[in-house]
Amino acid sequence: MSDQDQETATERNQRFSEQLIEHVPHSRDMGHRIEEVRNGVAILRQPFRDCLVGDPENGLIHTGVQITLIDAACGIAVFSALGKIQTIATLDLRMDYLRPAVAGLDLLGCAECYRLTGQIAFVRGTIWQERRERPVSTAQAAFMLGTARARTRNLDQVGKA
Amino acid sequence: MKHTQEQEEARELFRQAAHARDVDRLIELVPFSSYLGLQARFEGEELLFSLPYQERLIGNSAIQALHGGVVAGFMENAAVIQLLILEDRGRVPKPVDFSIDYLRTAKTQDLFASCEVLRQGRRVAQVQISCWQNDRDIPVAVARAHFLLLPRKEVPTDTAGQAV
Repeated sequence: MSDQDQETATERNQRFSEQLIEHVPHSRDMGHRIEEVRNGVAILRQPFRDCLVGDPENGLIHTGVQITLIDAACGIAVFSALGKIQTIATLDLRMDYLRPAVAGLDLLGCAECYRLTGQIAFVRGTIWQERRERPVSTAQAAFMLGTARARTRNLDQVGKA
Repeated sequence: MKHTQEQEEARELFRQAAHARDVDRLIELVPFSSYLGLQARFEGEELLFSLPYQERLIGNSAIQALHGGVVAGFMENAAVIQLLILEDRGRVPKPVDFSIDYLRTAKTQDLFASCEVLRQGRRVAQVQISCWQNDRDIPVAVARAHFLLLPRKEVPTDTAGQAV
C-alpha cells in the first residue's frame, strides 16, 4: 500500500469517526470507536466498561451491547458502500450468540454490506473479542435506503469530490 | 466454569429479588439494564417495561430518532428481566438468538415494552417482545428471542437420561 493510499484510508476513518460522533449521540455515549472503514465494510470497537455487564455471576457482557455495536457498524458499512451518508432505516436484524462475551475485554464488530440495490442494503456482521476466528456473535440485517435514488459509488471518489 | 463463593453470592441476590418479585432490584443487579435506564412495573400480572427518553439514546440527530440498537437492547433487556421474574432460580438466562423487525421510526420519546413467553421448557424459553411509544396498538418494533435457562449439566433428567 502506498503512502497516499494509507493517508486516504486514515482520512476516511477520521471522517466517518467525526460523523459518527457528531450525528449518533448513542454511539458517543457507548464509546464506539472506528477501527477501519473501506468500501462497504466497517469495523467498530466497543471498549469494555463495567456498566456493560449483563451477567455478573458469570462475568459476561450483555448481549444488548452487541446489538448496538453491530447496528452502528452496519449503518457505517452501508454509508461506505453508498459513498455518502443518507437516511437509512433498519428493517430487521438478527443476532446469533455463538459464545459468551467475557467482561474485561473489548468487543470488535465488523459489518459488511454485501449487496446494495436501489432500495435495500443487505448486511452481515461478526463480533469477536480476542480472535476474529472465534466470533462471539454473528448478525444479519436489511436496511431500507432513503427515498432519494441510491447509487453505488466509490467512496474514494466521493471523498475527493 | 469454576464455581466460586462470589458467583454463589451473586446468584443468591438474583434469587432473592426474583422470589420477592422485586423488579427494581433485578434491574439494579444487571449493570447494563440500569445503565440503559430500564424501568419496569407490574400492571396486574403483566410486567410493563419502559425506557424513559434521554438524549444519549438518539441514533440519528438529523431525523431525531432513537438508536435502533437502543430499541433492540431495551427489548432484549426486558425479556431477560421477564424470565428472571418467571424463573426464580436466580440464573440469568443466556440469549441464544434475537431477531427484531423494525416497524416504525422510534421517536425521541419514552419506549414501552411487554413480553410474552410463548414457550418455557426446562432448558429453553422463547419470548416474543413488543415495543411501542404512544399507542400500544402501534408498535415501533417486534422481536423474538430464545434463551437457555440452565447450563447443560444442571438440566434435570429422567431415568433414561433425557432432558425433561
